[in-house]
Amino acid sequence: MSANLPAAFADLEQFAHLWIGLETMESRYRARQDMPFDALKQFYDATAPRLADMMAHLDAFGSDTLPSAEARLYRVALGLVEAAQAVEFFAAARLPGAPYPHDVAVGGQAALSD
Amino acid sequence: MTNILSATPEGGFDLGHGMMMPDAAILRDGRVAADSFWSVAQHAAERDAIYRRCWLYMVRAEDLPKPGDYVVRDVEICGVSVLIVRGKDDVLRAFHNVCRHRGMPVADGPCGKAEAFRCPYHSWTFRLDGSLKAIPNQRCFPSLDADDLGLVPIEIDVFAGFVFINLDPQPAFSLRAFLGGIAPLLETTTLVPFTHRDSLSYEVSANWKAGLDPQYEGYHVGTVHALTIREISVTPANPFSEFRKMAFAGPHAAGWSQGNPGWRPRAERLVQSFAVQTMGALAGRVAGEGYPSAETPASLAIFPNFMIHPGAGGWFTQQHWPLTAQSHRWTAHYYYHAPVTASERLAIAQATTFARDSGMEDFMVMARQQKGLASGATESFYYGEAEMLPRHRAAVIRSVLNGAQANMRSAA
Ligand code: FES
Ligand SMILES: [Fe+2]
Repeated sequence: MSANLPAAFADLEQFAHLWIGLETMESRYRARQDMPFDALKQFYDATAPRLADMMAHLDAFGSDTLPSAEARLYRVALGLVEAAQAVEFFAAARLPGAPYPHDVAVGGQAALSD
Repeated sequence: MTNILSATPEGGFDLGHGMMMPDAAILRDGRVAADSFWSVAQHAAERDAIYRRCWLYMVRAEDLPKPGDYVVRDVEICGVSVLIVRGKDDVLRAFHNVCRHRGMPVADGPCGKAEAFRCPYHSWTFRLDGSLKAIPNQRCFPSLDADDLGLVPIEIDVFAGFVFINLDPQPAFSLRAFLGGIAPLLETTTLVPFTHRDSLSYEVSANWKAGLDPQYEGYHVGTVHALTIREISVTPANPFSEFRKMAFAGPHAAGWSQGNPGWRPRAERLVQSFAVQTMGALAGRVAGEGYPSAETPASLAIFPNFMIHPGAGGWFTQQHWPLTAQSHRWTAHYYYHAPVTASERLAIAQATTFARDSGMEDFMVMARQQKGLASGATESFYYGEAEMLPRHRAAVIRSVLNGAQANMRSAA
């Protein structure tokens, strides 16, 4: 899979592989639990200050399908949301004391169709 | 009169066992038997006296917008699988998800769209109104009358878009009577404008009432959520996140929080800041339509297991479904205005992720609490006066179980 990001964010490509294959909140949450905190922090430190720029870039594309480089950038931003939980609140990849690994189902028994 | 909205918890209620008052000793002292959170006998009594009697919230009416839309919801404590489907006549119906041939579930959960329900065992087929449409090789059933073999109906009713079922084939009271004085508060919970929803579900190793408790009080927030929501709720003026107002209506209750109106995300929390700001802009773009107001209860508790709260995007609802005496399933729906931009989608993802993690803080605590209670070390535990909502719920349940037992004795 190509890890190319839009040109303005090419410097973040080194992190893209962490997140671009993860389509669901569940898979991103599991990835966060499996990542060392230092790696999450390094990713956060490089990307969080760019978040507003990343999203301004993506907002210009309207609401439907994003071009593939932009779609990857959005996945990176979703990965940042997950990493930010670890960095901004817990100072740890996993919730202190939580069972490892654990999954919180998206939908699951409560699922609704769209 | 029952189920009147009142500022005090002593009001009467009737859950089909006759008029009752919440247990006076529990209301007075807050002392609750520890085994009410782990005994198998209590679990069975709650099943019969509560879950087989009360109206149980299932789904929003607009979550089943078109004919053929259905959900399957398991009420495990009763061993029942409930199929709710919108018919071709636009009517919502509920059925036992059980084939009339040999008992197979006819619909695969947890949701979907169907023209008809074809049983996966021998292909008996049922219409959306539950009637039996076709029996393959029907001449082998010469004495059966297909008209008598529709899916077994379950009582269903809708209030303000909230769809409830009742597993009692002849409910002792209507949904409206059951809701009583809490109904006006439910009516102000306008979920219709929030067409985007995230749904989560998690199985917790704790009694269902342990699951509800932290949703019923703010006392734990400063401790359990020290890293997450503490700063949104705890202020110097309100160090224990106490409700500023509580109200009770029969078995139901509501609590209004004080909140921290001056709260803003810390500047160094770049992602939370971006998300909160974007969510605020989303609310502004849709002119605040349907959003909770200052008069919105922080917790609206519909007995036995349904809670509604204001959330980051508008509202969220959650339920704690008993599985065993020592486990339950949490389900939650977070309602947001439909996002238009990528930023708005991201802000919603952050809000749900934050809610998931702060929920997990509660789940970790209750699973450990469960072990402590089930160890038998103590005979009782205590709800303080700031924990009046769970205290009231415990008092209601105690009276219901006492009353149901008295009814059984007098019938014997
Ligand atoms: S059990 Fe359903 S068709 Fe036989
Ligand atoms: Fe909590």
